[in-house]
Amino acid sequence: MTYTNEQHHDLMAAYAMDAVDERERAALWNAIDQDAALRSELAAYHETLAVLAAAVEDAPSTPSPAVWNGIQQAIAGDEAAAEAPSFTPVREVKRRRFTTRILGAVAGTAMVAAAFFGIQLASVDAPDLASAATELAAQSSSRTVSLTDSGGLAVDVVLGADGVGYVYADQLPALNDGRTYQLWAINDNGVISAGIFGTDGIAPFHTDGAVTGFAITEEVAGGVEASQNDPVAVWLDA
Amino acid sequence: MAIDDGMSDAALVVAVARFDESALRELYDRHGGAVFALSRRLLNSRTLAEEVAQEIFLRLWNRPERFDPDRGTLRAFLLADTHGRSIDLLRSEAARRERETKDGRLAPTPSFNLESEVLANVQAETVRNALADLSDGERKAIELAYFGGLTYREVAEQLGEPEGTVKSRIRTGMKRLRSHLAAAGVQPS
Repeated sequence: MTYTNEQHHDLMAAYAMDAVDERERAALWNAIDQDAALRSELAAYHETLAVLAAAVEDAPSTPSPAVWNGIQQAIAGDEAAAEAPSFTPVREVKRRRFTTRILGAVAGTAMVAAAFFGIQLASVDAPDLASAATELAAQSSSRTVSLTDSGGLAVDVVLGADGVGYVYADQLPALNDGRTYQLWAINDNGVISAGIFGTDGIAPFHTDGAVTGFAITEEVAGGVEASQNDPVAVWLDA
Repeated sequence: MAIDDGMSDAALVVAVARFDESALRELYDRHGGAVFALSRRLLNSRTLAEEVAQEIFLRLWNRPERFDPDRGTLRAFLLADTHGRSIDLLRSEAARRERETKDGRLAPTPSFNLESEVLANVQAETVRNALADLSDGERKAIELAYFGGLTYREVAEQLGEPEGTVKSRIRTGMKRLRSHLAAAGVQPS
């Protein structure tokens, strides 16, 4: 369904408080991306809601120290520490669960759950990305792999020894409005989202650890925390 | 970069983008309590709220470029993220309960009165005045949508009002709140 600009503005306050349905959310996400006035209106609503949230806070709220400890452990990728009984970081729990799921998906079972943790996107121009990807591919310490499906699709990914990599996103089929591709990286600890991207040129990403597989799924714009979709293309280290 | 508590949020986010963990810690100290409080209010669970808080700051670490200082304060950005994530959990839990009980009715609406919940401090007084400026219908629609986690359609069903009316009340109520708070110079901390 296509909305008019007036309908976008009508829905913006409800959107700001997550009170629209998924179809409306996808449509508005796309419109907001393209319309500075909508972005400005949304930001103003978010400021108002932040004031409202603070005004009903009934007491100084302090999460337990375990929360920050979990953040530190996830940042450090310290799997051993993450197993500490006091508080298991969300990221680690979900990453382990998803490993099984995504491997199952390769065998034809739908993916069910995943952790949503993004990537450090490089702030460089597209031509620089192409050069950077080419240079990285030429290094002996890097790997170039192909994510494939059963229908002949092949999407190249270059991965450097430091975890920086590039997806040749333009090798993927075009997306409909409100949709995105999402890259998932598999390492010894599990699976994490390595970011979302469209089909323009080359998309950079960063991932940790020894990567043993990649998968790409198609998702609603903005990406997902729990993918229900089969991978579009997959590569697993033999 | 040496991190100190006089740095702006925007400068700290830049440091986070450079993998400076102490910058993330400073931001966590500034905003972690508000993130946790909002999530706990929405989810009514300290454990889940702590998981959400952890996830929100890991998102900031992993994708600092999502925050654009030209589009608002970091506090508002983090709370919007927190609200979205908490609502996702709330709705998935409601869906699970619905499947288990095969009860198609809406999840129970939390007992909540926005005006009476606003606390006694200077900023809260301004918010209370702003809320008093809303019609009952506007205030109820915002309460149920923002703090109750309902979509505007669910709010309409709950209140027995047309969807368009509720959507309109949310919009006009938010606009009125926004202009009232802006006139009073109130900003998120």
